[in-house]
Amino acid sequence: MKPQIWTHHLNFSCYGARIGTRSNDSRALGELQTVFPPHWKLITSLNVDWQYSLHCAPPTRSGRKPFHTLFSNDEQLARNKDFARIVQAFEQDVQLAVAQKARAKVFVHAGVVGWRGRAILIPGRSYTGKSTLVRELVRAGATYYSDEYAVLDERGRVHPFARQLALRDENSVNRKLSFEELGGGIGKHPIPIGTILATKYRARAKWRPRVLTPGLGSLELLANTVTARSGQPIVLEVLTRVAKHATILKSARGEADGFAHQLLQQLA
Amino acid sequence: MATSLYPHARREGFIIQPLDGELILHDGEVTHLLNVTAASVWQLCDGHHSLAEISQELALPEETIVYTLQQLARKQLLQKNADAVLFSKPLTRREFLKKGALVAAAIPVVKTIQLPSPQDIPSNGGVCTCPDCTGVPTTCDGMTPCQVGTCIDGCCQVI
Repeated sequence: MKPQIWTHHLNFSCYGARIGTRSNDSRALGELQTVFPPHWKLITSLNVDWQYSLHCAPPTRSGRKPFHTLFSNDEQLARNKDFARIVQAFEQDVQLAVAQKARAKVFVHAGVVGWRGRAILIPGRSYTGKSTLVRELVRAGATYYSDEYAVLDERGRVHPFARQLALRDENSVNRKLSFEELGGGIGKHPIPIGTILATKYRARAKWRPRVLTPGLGSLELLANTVTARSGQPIVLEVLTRVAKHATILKSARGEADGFAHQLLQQLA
Repeated sequence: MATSLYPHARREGFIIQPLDGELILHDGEVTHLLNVTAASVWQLCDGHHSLAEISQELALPEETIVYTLQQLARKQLLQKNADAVLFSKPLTRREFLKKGALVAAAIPVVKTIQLPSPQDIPSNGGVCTCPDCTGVPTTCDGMTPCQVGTCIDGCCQVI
């Protein structure tokens, strides 16, 4: 598409990653803004690390809904008549873009809560019950930091990435939980990591943790690190620093509510 | 026993990170973790220490050294010239343990993981963003059924 088609721009930075969004429709751009990642800041520079372009087609004469098209850099990311689907695709992709382009930070796919001044980090892929466990830990008194990414700095501390908690129902349909519904406090400052839980939900499983070595803990983190393949020295340095100073526990676990209370008591 | 063997570790192309006696070898696509025993052996594989000397220096039986070298060679962490000697009579883990070569807590372990690419780590729980995907938010990560179609290349598509 010709550059002059993009009449509206909104660029922001998040943890040092500079993201550009542009569109031919200012209202549509405003919709994207509602799902910018946590802690974004508007920037005026047009020099960005990642560019999103949203083309909204005008309504057709026949009254049919037109297709909207979203590009991530030069690749088509989503094309749909339902604008909500476009926003959803953007929200998912932009977080990953920030995770890849953040400066001096390492993004690990993990749930994070704070407890007594230290973080509990739960690395894992989707469908391991991370978000449910995070919700229950917050309900049991922990502070909410993230249900998606642990943002680690060079000192090995974790920063908040508190977006609305995304939970799936029994039909695997995502539902967002507002901070009010979640209850509990929201983390505002970076904190050191006290515990790493390598755990997955399994029906009727008992929590019988074994303590992992720092090396095995580093592997658990690396397997969920967005920039694991980047070859940047900071990745290994940060992950090994975190693993060296944290207690790393591995076990399957049962239902999140009972487990959350048990865990917080053990860590008290 | 191939006591005249002078094993040589492959070091080029790795980011090497020691960690409390363990060793992480990171080459961009895979990461190897050597436990304390395996790391100690690997570090002495400099082409100047014979198998017997490594055994003597680490106070470990030669079977332990051979078993470690076999594991390292399988993961391509040694220069290739050692393979023929090491695998002329490979030891299985069971045989190794049976031979009594085990010194307490000295079982050598080399664990390897394939590193994920950014696309392997989906946000929002693997919601399908396939341009042609229709219907309600759909998951398609190989673990949950695709709700509106068929999982193709990680996307839920109606065919």
